[in-house]
Parts: sequence; C-alpha cells; structure tokens
Amino acid sequence: MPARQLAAVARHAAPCFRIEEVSGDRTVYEHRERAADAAAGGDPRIASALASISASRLVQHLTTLTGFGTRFSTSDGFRRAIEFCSGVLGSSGYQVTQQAITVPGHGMSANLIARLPGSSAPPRLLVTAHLDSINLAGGPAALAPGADDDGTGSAGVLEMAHVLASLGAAADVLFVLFGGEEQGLFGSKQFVAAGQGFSPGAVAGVVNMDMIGSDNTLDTPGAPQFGVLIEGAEISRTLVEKLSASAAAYTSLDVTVSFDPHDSDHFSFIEAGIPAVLTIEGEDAANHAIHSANDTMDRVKPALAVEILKMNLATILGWNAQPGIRLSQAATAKPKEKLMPTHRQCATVLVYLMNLEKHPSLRLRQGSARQRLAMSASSIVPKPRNIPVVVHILFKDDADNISDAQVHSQIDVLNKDYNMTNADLGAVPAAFKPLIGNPQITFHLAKVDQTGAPTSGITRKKVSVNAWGADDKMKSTTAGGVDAWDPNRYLNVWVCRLGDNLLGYAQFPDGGPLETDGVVITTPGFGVGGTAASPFDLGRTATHEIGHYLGLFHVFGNSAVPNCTDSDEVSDTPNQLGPNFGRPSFPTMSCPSEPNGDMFCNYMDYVDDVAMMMFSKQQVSRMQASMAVSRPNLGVDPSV
Amino acid sequence: MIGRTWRRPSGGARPFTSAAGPMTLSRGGTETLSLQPDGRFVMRAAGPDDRPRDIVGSWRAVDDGAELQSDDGSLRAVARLTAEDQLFVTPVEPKK
Repeated sequence: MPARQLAAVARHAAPCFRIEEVSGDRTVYEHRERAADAAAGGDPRIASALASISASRLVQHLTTLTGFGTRFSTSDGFRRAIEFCSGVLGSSGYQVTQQAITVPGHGMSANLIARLPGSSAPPRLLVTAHLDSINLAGGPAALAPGADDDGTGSAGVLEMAHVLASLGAAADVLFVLFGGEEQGLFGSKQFVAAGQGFSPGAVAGVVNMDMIGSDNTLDTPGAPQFGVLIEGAEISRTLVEKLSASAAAYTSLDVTVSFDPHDSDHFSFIEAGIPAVLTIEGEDAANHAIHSANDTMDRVKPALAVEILKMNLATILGWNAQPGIRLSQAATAKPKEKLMPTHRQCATVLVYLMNLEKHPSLRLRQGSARQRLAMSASSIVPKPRNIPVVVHILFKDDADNISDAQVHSQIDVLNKDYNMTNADLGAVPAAFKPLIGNPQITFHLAKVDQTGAPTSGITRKKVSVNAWGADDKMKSTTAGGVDAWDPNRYLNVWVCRLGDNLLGYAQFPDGGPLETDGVVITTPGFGVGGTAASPFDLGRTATHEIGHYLGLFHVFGNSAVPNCTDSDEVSDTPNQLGPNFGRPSFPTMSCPSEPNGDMFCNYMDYVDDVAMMMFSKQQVSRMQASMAVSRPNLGVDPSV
Repeated sequence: MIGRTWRRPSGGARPFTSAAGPMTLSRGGTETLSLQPDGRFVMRAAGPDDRPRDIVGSWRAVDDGAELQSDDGSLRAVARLTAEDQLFVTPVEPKK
C-alpha cells in the first residue's frame, strides 16, 4: 500500500479509503520516462501562452490565503478566504456563486464556483482545489496556514482562471474551490451530488490540484528537482495521458502516474463516473508539515507550482475535443491589463520566495528538508530576542549631533512598545483591546562592535549633506554616509535629516541588499527630547519603521489610492480605506464592512506619535515568523 | 490641472494641492503628482516601507477629470478637481 494511503488511513480512518491487498504484478506508481512521452517540444503557441503564468501573482494570492490564521471549513478565516477568492475571480471577469455545504459534526461551509458570464453550454472541463485547511492536533481554532495543503492548489485555481480568461480560453471551464475536504471530501461530494453549474455527462475532465508546491525530494540523492504525481482511475486514463504528455512537452517535471485514486476531491468525481485527476507534488508523503501549523509559506517552492500549472494549463489549451478553446486566439491574444490590485502585495514574503528561486543556495543554506521544517516550527515558537542596535548619527549642524540621552530615550520607547509596557496602552479603544499583541522583543545598544571591541552602540559623523534622499546613500561610507555593521547581527539605524518631509523608511526582511538592511529615521523624528519635534516626538517613528523591518505592512494597505480591498496580510487588523492622520477618535469608520472601524491606534498607521499605541496579535505572529525565516541570528547572541 | 505639480502629505485619502509653501512632516513624506501635457503622469508616493516610489503611466481626459493608468498596472484611478485647488485621486473599480 502506498505510504500516503497508509498514513491517511492511520490519520483519518476516512470513509473513502479501503485497505486492499496488491498483487505482486500490479504497478501502483508508474514512473514515466520523459523520452517516452516527449512530444517534439510541444506546440509553440501553447508554449507561448504558458508564459502568462505569473509566479509572483501566485505567491501574492498564496500569501493572502495563509494569512487568515486557519481556513478550517467552518471558521471565520475560511469565510474570509472565500470572500478574497470571490474578489480575485470577479476581478478576472468571472461570475462567482457559492454552494452551501454541510460538514458533519462541525456545521456549514461552502464551495466557491466561478464561470465566465454568458457561457451557455455546460462546462467540459473543471479545475478544482480545496480551500480549507486543518490543524489536526490543535483543532478547529488552531493555526493552520495550509500553505501547501491546499493554498497552493487554491492559488493555482485563481492563477489558471486569470490566465485562461486573459487568453480568451475560459468559456468551457468551470472553476471550483471546495470546503470540507479535510473532514472527508464533503464539499466535492455535495458538489457532485447537486450538479450545480455543470452536467456530469458533459464533463470531459476534472483537473484537481491538491498540494502542488512542496519540493519533497531535496534529501533524496540523485532525485530530480521537481516531481509530480498524476493520479486518476481507468475512467480518467485519457486525461492522465494528456497531462503526462504535457508535462514532457512543456515542463521539466519528473512524472509518476497512478490509477489508485484516494485522499482528495478527484475521488468524489471518479466515484460518480466523471473522469478526474489529481495533480500533486512528487513524494507528497514526505511532506510532514501538512495538517499542522508548520504548513507555512517558507516550505513552498513557487517554481514547482508553476511547473505543475504549466502542465495543467497546456493540457487544457491543447484539448482537441474542447471546441470552446480557441488556441490561435489563446496564443496570440494580449493578456488583459492588470486593474487595481484587489489585495496588498506581500513584498516581504514574495521577495523571500523569489530570492529562493533565484538563489538556490539560500535554500541549501537552510539545509535539509528536516531543517526547513524546524525553521517553520520556529516561526510559531518564537525565540527570545534582544536585538543589538547600532545608531549611526549623521549631522551637518552640530545641533543635529543628538545626545546619547536622546538615543537612549529611543531605545526605552522601543522596549516599552515592543513589550506592551507603554504607558498609553490603556488608551486603546475597548473594541481593540482583545487584539493587542505583545512582541516580547527587546532592544539594546550594541555592547561590542564588529571586531569585538567594546562600543557605545552609537557612531557619529559630520557630513555636508543638508537633506538625504531615500536612496540609501546614508548607508554607504563611499557615498558620504556610514556603512552598516553586519546586518545579520545588528539592527542598523541611521539618524539623519531626510528630505521631502519624510519621517523615515525601512527595508523589509530580504527586501534588498544586506548592506542596506536597517531603518532610517529623520533627526526630528527620533527619540524623545532634544531634536525631536511635535507631533513626532515620542519615538514612535522608529517603532513604526522597525515594524516594517520585521515584516509588517501598513494597516491601510499599499495602494497609492484609497480602497477597502487590499490587506496588510494579517487577519486581525480591519480593512482600512487609507491612512489616518493626526489624532483620530473612536470610532473612525472608513470601510463599511468593518464594524469597529479603523484600528488607527496601531503603530502601523500614519497617525501622530501620541495616537499610536499597539500591535495586533497577528502582527506579532507575522513579526516572529519573519524573524525566524529571515533574521534567524538577530538578537540571539547575548554577547553582542 | 494639467502641466502642474500637485502635492500632499503622504496618504491616499487626502487631496493634492498645488499651493506653494512648506509641507508638514509625514510618515511617508510629501507625495507629488504631475500631469504632463504629453499624456504622461508621474506620481511619487510612499511605498509599503515608507520609501517613496515613482509610479509612471499615461492619463486621458474623462468627463470630470483625468483617468490615470500606470504602466505597471498597479494604479488605475481618476483625478478630479473638487475645488479650485483640491485634486482628489480615487481608484477606478475593477470591471466585472
């Protein structure tokens, strides 16, 4: 019996599995040699169309999906995920409907169904994934990011829907995101039973994606970089062969096929006599992070997901019996221009993952898959951090050569704000008090410099520059500033006069070169007393910028124009139209969907120093995860 | 509206103004919008890490203002004069 099947039976005792003796001459998993399936390089028009698949868009969507805490089928996080996906699919031009489903023992959930408006004929192809996640050990409320299982498949559905629509090739395709999969395939079973939006007899194939982004072969000597399992049944053999051929023609995937379906939503279709196939990452049984809080973004390799998406998309585009797909148009049509983003881009995680793609050594640095798993775990079990800070003071006028006392005042503010001991915490409106999070991060001026010599943690340099731009020149000795101390060990803070009325700026984790890592604060916005000027004289600019440095976005999103649809990638800060300024009063309502209005008292808004006084719990989780992934050695050595 | 540089303290919900004079400190600095006669625009706005970034694109006249479309697809909005010296920029809703 395949390992995954054994494990699944052991874990779930799920009703859709059976224990079956396998005869000695029966092939359960068949490895396909690439030469046997090669299709002379494939159709160049299809190859051209596959270039429309966007890894960055996929990661953006996946990042949002993992930000809901849990997508347990009956949870608020699942409901928010449904709303998010509805928005994305709507933006791609689809008409979106929901099918209410029951999840026995838990309550109501939903399937999300999308099709282009005006499509009259029954859909011939279905593209599916399950949107729900689960933490088996922790229960329904426990953290279950479900990055690979099945955030990757869900983000893959969104991406395929986007690309097919932009290519004018989506008319005969129905897209479905299921709930209730983890509890026993309830969403797909009830979808098939209801026949909502499709006619079983008209369906030529169902392409289900469940876990398409974890490279589980890293520890296997000589293993190919990317593998995929195409799993169907005899009824879906044609589709299995088409997918296998597409993989050979358009991807670098190492293909294994199986005709023993189980453990995902394709099984519900096959039981109903509908040809369905599961596409899943190779060696999925080696992915031990699923169904736990450890199924996190850092385990996902977007390039693998893109390869599997290419295989699936090429199969749909090349489906000869699918008259709705106009290949010539698909290959030549210009993709629709991107409209307003529907959610905030997660540059931090995106850049991190893209860096992994560009620089495999970054991943190798993390070592084996086991070590990566440990890294994931560390993202939710935070280490104590006491971060050594070096403050580089650049001054033209002597009055800007701020005192040691002013520097110490800034460190004091940081220690209060990042440990929930700030005196104004009581001013947080009652509606937001339950959401206050405690980062438990402390800061101190560095005790030793890079050579090991004792230091005050403060450097000073007289410069000739009146006002610095946001071009990082203050971070370079050759450009007139001061070089960073080793950013892997120190938080570098440059204090200088910034132009354009800018209070400060930061560099996200893995958001740029190591030598520019850190934050910049304008002299009148730094610390308390001295040069600090009202209303930014309480040291909160550094609190805000270090929030960015630790991976946080603004609570109001990243769009240059106001909107209520983008997100800061944490689930407990309300959506907010745009930044707040000054000293708002509660409630400040900017988005109708938020009953308590804006969390203007959050350090990541734009209000005056006196009006900001809290991080949220999910922001704290994000900071901790960010440090675990991107700054593993910062603040852990007590001798620095 | 055209051929001028509009400014505001950072933040999408505030109007731009062409008024001269000092601007106040802001967490994202001063944002600017220049609508050029050749149909191009440049908006300098606070980025997600507060570092200013330039958004460039083209504009076209619409009934009550100018519709802006950035080259990278990140911005689609309409700029409208709501008073003699107040320019509001609001997003265009995605087409369904």
